[in-house]
Amino acid sequence: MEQEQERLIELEIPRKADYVVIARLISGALSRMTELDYEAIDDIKLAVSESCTTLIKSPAGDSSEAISLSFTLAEHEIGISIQDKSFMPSGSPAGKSAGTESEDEEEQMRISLIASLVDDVSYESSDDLRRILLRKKAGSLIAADEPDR
Amino acid sequence: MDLGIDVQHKENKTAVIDLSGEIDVYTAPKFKESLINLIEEGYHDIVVDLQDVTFMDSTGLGALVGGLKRVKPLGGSLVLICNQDKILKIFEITGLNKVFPIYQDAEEATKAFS
Repeated sequence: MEQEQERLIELEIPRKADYVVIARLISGALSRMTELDYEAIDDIKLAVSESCTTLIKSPAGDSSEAISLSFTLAEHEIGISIQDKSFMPSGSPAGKSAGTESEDEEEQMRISLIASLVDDVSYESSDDLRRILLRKKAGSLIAADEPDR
Repeated sequence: MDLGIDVQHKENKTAVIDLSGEIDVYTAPKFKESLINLIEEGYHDIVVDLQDVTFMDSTGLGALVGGLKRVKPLGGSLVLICNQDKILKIFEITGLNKVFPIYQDAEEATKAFS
């Protein structure tokens, strides 16, 4: 069986709120190169926006100035890695914020949104790296699309 | 990307905030500030029109929730106008479609305050 050819595209943006739109635009453009439909492309853009926001809003000690995104395109799916090289206290999950009640509520919304928009999501953190991994396949349903039981 | 915010002050201390563009981590603070200013000016019944919003994420939801939490104790309300499926979707995923009254158009929304 012929294997799908994967393409890798990498992007680095400043770790600033005004550049999240760039990540969104690029992820939308790249998603259109796959078999993902328009709704799935919107899901990807939102998931990437939420992921970048998670990294930007997370407390960071000595943070890098940039967020790195890697896009792996296959015909029927897209994989995205969003990472921030910064110091994190050990044991803290990526995206964990120690903010106000409203900031914590927003963080919970981000986490639930991301999980609902993509097929797979995982958070990785170590002393010097925080990474969010997303995967979306063509033809998959999200929570809001599923018929009521 | 900028966010357009047009505030219309109506009778009976009702206001309409007409938004256009994208609401994300960069533009949401501006929207949040507008909401807070309106509430502090005494406008506690607020309609937020999302018909011309082309993108919104959780930061926009957070600003709306924050606004609702401010007006509720004052006896006010915050309702939304939205007819775009891609924006309505995030309210459905987060369950906030059960928290905010969401109307299809301005005519329906203003009936809520009559």
